[in-house]
Amino acid sequence: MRLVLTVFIMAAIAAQATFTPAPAQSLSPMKGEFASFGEAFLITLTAYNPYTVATRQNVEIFDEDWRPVQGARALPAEYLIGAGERRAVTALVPFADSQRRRVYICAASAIASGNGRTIKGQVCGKYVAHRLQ
Amino acid sequence: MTRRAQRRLPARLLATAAAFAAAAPPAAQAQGSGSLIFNGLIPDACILLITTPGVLAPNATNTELSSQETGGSPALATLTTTSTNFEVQVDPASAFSVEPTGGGTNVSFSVDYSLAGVTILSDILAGVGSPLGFGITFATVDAAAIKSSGAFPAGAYQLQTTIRCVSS
Repeated sequence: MRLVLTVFIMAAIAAQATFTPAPAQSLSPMKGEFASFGEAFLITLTAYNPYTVATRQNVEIFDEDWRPVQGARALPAEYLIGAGERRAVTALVPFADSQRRRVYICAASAIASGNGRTIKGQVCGKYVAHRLQ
Repeated sequence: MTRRAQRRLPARLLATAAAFAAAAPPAAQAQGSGSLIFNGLIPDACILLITTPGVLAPNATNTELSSQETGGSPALATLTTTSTNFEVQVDPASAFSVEPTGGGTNVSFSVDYSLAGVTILSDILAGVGSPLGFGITFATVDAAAIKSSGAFPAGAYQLQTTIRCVSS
């Protein structure tokens, strides 16, 4: 009987757990903090082209002082994206002997040229990675 | 009931009891009240749309190329945000990216921007970031190049600036 009661309690706890909302965890496209093993970390983002024409975009990765991160790679680093389309972009960023690395990853639109003037658009998310030992 | 069946009975009871317990509502519901949970997520997003690149035009003496001269026009961009977690930055310019010979000597550059819509700011110097409001912000970016000695020689000029929406 004692064994049966124990099973009842455990089953009830399990049932309760299924009704309790788990803390949500998601990686926002524009901000994120996470932990990773190894020498480098990967971030997958979704790029979006809001223009009504296909545009060429490239991905740039900067450290917290807005210097290009040495050894960082984006896959693909440059791509043509259709009007209103989205696509996944993956960035590989080395920790470079640090335990915590904050980077900006930017999707830059093709330069729009005018008469004597060009302007480049960049949208940059901020990401913090903690290195697990 | 056979002896074998009697031996299997506790196991059946256990399984039945566990199934009932798993299907039972939580204690709060059993008392006549319960929580209904609505999960929601608004992703942080900033959409930058450059609507016009702008035009530099010379003044009457060709000592200044500016988007504010007659014939010139500012660069225009629209920034749409889903939260107040963003700021806009405009990079200063330090050189022409295209110029005729001698066009870039003794030249100082200035870039500033103004914001309208959910964010209202005027004449912010490039290099100074501005927090964005929630919604649609219209950015107007002006640029100028001033030659302190002589006049700009004839030819094609191009000044490059960057407008950036950054997660703050």
